[in-house]
Amino acid sequence: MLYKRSKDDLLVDLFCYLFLIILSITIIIPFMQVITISFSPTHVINSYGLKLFPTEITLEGYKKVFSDELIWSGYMNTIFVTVVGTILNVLFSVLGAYPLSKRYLPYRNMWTGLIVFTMYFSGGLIPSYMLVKNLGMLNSLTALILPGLISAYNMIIMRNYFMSLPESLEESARIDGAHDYTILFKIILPLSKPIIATVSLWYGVHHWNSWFHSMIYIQDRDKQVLQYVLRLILSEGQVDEVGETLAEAAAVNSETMKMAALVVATLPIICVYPFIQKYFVKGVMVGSLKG
Amino acid sequence: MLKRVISMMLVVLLFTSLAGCSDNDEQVNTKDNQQSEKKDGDSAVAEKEEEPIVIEWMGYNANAQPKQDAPTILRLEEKLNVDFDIWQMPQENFDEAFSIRLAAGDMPDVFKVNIKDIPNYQKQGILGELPLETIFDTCPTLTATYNEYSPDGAVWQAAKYKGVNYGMPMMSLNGTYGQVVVWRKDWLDNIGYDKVPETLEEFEDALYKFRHNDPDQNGEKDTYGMSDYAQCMIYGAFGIGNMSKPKYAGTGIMLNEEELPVFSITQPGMREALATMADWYEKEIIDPEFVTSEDTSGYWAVSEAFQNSRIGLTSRSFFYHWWDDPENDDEDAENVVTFGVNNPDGEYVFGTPPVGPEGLSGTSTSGYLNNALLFTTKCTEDPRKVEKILQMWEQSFVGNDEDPEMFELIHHGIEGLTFEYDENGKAQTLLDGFAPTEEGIVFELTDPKYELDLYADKYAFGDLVSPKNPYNKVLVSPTEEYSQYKSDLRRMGEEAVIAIITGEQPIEYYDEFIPIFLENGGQEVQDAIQREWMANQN
Repeated sequence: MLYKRSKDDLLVDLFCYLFLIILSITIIIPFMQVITISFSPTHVINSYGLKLFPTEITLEGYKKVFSDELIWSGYMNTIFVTVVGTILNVLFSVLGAYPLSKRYLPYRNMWTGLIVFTMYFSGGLIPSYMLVKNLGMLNSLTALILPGLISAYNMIIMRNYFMSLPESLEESARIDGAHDYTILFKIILPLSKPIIATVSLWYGVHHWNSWFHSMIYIQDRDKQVLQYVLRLILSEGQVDEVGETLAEAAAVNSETMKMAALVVATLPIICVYPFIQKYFVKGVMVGSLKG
Repeated sequence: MLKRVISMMLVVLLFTSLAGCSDNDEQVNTKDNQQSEKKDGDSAVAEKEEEPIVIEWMGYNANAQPKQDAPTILRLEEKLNVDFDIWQMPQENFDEAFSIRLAAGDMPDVFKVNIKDIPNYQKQGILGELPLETIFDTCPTLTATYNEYSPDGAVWQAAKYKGVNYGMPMMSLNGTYGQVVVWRKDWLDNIGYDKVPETLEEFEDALYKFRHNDPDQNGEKDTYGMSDYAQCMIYGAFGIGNMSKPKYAGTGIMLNEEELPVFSITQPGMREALATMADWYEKEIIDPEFVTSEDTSGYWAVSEAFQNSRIGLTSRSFFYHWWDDPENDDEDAENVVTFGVNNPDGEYVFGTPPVGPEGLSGTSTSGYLNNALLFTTKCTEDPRKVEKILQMWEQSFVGNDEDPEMFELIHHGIEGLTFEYDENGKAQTLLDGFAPTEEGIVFELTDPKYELDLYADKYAFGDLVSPKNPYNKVLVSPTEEYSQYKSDLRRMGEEAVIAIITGEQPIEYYDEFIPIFLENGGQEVQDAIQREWMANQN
């Protein structure tokens, strides 16, 4: 017998979809505004009203962005830090979380406690800076990867996930003669795709968006990351500067260029998102034990 | 499996440790090559020491990141036999990034700061003394120029704190010009004014008609007189100078009758100015959107409300933001370009600030002394460094013909590469935007005489359109108390000013507000500022 939908169901559906549509619009409109401004000449930007579609097209902004070598070196650095950083982050988080998920690890609660402790108390900015400086990592991209290699929060999430896997998996593998590494890499990790994807995305987006460490640890202009370069561009001319020279007053980049830089910097991460999204939706135990 | 994993991790470790070694050696090598390829052009270098001295430089506005190996910098290093290590700092979070590095024990040799931050750095113990006599002896031309443009000698007080001089003051020519007063000329014509309004009554009359007499003749009531940028002049008409947007109302400082610095918001005159504006707001003269400012996006000096024919009077920008190049339209300022496109039939005209009931009038200037190049203890410990830096500046001043190439390098870089001379013999940059900073024009000390000559046409325009401002900007050292209460005072001041102007509170509220303002830090900060002020006067 076919299940017939009642009026209530329809009403709920209608409400849900309406809500989602409104939510999407609130997200899309500012983005359309940014894209439009990146194509518009200055006098259009200085006029009032929403700018959802370009009325006059100019490529001036993009020309300026593409000829800006800082943006490209920033891109390369960001991609490097994001890819290498995320791989290392996930690898070490797994290596930390897996033992902690085992009940037969000696003093397990103490170790976990120590790690949780670091989430609430840290040395602060200046000791961190001095540590990085004394380790000789100043002005190199390692300073953006190694400090914060493992995020305690992500590691604990991972540990909880590993704990939710049935212990019988490990036992049966041991009976077949597998070692710890084999169990972890051949059995546990393939089952952990969803959590690895989730944590990778967190790490990746964090690397992509972070600029503060680049600001304090990196001195060479060609080693700075994209978000930091973007900040430099966007913050120009917003605050009235005391004692600016004539040359400086004439040098401020236009909004067109700023928004073009914003688009160029944001598009890639938006493009990556749909490919990772499916892992979030997938269930936890796909492809492992049926039962 | 185990072996593979371990070896993989080792490889990763090896790579990261290798990446940790920066490529300084490489840079040095390229420098050596370039230096050996170049011939020693002239014998300006007094004496060849064996090792170039390393000078760490943060003496520029951090709005772009200089290239360490820009030809200009390399040539300067060669001439002076120094090795400049240029600090790369962000503009936006400058204070934060800078203080982290200082706290970690790094310091540059020379850095540029706003004068009011000198006490903070002095308290940290990083500033080295640079006796004024040293400057006078090493830099005769510079000293003469400074004395010429600062006859009262105020310039030599700028880098001093408690009687000790810590560096080289900088002069800002632009800071001597008042904010321009810009009217919509076509609107004035339409309401029957054949001259720009001069007194407060005329201002009120004209602005009232801007709201109610349809000055743009489009049949709709869609215009206002003014918004927030013009409010500074209204305060000026009541004796409160340099009072900027509502946002900064709580921290504006002026001198009272006893020549002591006090918060402008507590002064007589403030109440009348607020009463006037509340009255104007009620008459719909002031755009209700002034609360969020007439600058709604982009560059601060462009008023979107004025550009879009919403208001007919604006200010806060300076003459160079309205520069209309007679020969080359590409050189026009953004305001001029936008106005031309948005209002093809519109015209603007420059006016003067309104004259108040007591004959007072004025606007805001940023003052000609804002910044200084400070020398750290690291620099002053080594007299050779100080000597080299001072000589470099001395040779970059008009009237010192010891080394023409040095003059060029400091101001413009290398001929044919970063600048060229036009038919009038004036240096024209070949670079756009902040590229000069990137290409190493970062050692410049503003030479007012040269700037006036180089931008003669712009400054002539500035003299023509900028109103005279009798209110000097008061330079006070911010104290710890100021840093502590600044944001609170700003919030209180802004809320009170907006509440009174918009009529949310009657003008009597002002009398209640001032004691509250003083109790919540205002008095404490004012006392501290006055103590510092007295100490500095002697």
